[in-house]
Amino acid sequence: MSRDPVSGGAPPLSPVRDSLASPPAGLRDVLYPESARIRGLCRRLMGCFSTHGYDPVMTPLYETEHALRRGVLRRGESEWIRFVDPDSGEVSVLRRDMTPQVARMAASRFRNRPVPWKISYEGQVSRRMRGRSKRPRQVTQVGVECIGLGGALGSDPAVQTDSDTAVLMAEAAAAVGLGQAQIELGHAGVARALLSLVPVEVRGGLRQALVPKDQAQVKRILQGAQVPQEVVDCICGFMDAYGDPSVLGQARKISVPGPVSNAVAGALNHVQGVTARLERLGMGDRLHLDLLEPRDLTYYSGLRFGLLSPGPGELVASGGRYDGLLHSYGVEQPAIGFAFDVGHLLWALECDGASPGMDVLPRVVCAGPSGQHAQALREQGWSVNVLPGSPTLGDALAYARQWNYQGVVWSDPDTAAGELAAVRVVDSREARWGTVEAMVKSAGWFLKRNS
Amino acid sequence: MPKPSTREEATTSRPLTIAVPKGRILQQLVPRLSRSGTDVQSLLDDDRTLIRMDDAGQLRFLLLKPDDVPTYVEYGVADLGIVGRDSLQERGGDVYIPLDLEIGRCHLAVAGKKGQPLREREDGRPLRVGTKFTGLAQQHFKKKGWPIETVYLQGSVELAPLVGLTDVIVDLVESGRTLEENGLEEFETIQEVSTVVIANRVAMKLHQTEIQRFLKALTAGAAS
Repeated sequence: MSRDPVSGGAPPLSPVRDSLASPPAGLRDVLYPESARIRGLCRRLMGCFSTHGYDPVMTPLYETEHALRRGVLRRGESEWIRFVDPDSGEVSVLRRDMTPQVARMAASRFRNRPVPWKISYEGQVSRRMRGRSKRPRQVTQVGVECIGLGGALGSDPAVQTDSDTAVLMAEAAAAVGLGQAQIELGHAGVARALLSLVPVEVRGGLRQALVPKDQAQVKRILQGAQVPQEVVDCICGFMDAYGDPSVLGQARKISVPGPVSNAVAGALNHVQGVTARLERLGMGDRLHLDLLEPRDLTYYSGLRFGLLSPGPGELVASGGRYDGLLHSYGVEQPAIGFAFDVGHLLWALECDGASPGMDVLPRVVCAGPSGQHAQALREQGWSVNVLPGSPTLGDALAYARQWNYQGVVWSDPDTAAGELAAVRVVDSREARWGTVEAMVKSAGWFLKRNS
Repeated sequence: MPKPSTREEATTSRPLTIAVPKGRILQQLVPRLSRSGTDVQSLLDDDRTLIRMDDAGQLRFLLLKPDDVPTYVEYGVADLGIVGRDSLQERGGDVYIPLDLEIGRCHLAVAGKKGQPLREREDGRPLRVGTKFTGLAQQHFKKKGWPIETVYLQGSVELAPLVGLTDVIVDLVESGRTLEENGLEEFETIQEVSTVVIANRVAMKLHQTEIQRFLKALTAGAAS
């Protein structure tokens, strides 16, 4: 049997049927125009962060497992995708999120610089999700970390930093067209304090029942553990403490057992401080509080916040304060940050009827004798694909349709060469004729017709 | 007319979408919904449509296979869903569970042939367990430290130990009559099962007013 000179002996793939032509389960190829939308969203979000002084960094695709198995860095361990690095022989982990990497980078490279360290990042992370229906293994994240600013619970500096970070999240969402999303606020200190009221052996099961707000199961667990009724009433009361900012008043009426009353009051005061600042900024009717959120309690240390919008069924962005993170790398600095899930953001924008993140200048095919106009159009920022040879106008239109181009630039052969050209709107067959200068001026009309 | 606030915009002008399971649970659910004041006529219509609206246009029901309910809710195409705890725990779902309806009560149990008590096999072969709930069965026997081999079965699970396909079964037990009639006995209970309302994590907050109103009516319906 003769060897295939291209593949080195392997039989050629049948591109349609062969399973090797598909990416591994849970991973996907992203094609135009979705790819352009995602890149556009990333660019705008990063641009917004840049205007607030956040410098972009790029992190490695993976870390050694050894480096991630300390303290709060173990967050999401059940979702890690591990492999053995063939060079070092060490078990390694594809990055699940970039915050631990940014913390490592900051602790080692910026420790001698004055705070705050303001860092932004974008890229894909890999997760192995189980126990749920939605199991994407590749997620595009864009986020920020603000390291070195904090303060005592409820203090003015802490409230200001936390508020500013939540506002930045909302501002970035507005910058890409999601200006009315609800902002969720909570505090890790409430769940941590309330869980400490029950015997250690039932805390794991109780936390698991608190995550889905499963009141029936929570009552069963607490009664089974013969927890005092005061504790049962307190925990069940806080389970219902979600909604508009008036739930803060409702929460303050709940009788909190003595040992944790100061911790809970401190957390509520802090949320109240942040809420008041956001209300002063005109965001009052966009606030949603959820005072008992028990996820990732070893990771978050203070305020938690997220962005709620119809569409993906999950938070569009989420984050919070994790003052213990840098400690894992030997640096004592408070930290706060958040990240957008760009897939969820795109979903929310499309649900909102927006046309998110696309390029703002036309994307066209240039064919036939009009090729000479291509460079002039590119200088105006147009995306121009010059087709080789001498395709007919029909061939150029067919190509443009298949590849999602918005139009075709075509010279009229009956007029003086180089003087006139046409932009043809692909789907409606509408056309505008004129000079290159006139075409550039008509970009607004062109995009409007193709939006 | 004043412009509605953002919060009002998020909670008006759309029906609440509820994923309901076809079959046994639906039969028990309809009287409960009816007592809560919900217009259930569309659920009683004898046709094959999978989307049913109430007359007021406030509720939209999606009729699904029970195992699919958590998926529709987690993705957010349904705000709420009605599902057994067994399906929810077996399939998994990142959803809220705001209300236990306490209907469809039964329990998940290990059962086998009468007179052959549950124990690890002496020949060292892992216990062979026939079940639709392979995940919950694995979890249960893992806690006991017993290695098992699960055999996935969709129905008539009681047959498996009778013909030697499996050593035991893990299945839902309501009255125990089916086990009795097939010469089987229950060895141990894994967990109690009932029907719960689940909610999408974002919908529960964006449409809190309507969802709470619906849940309160359901709770009141149980008491009446």
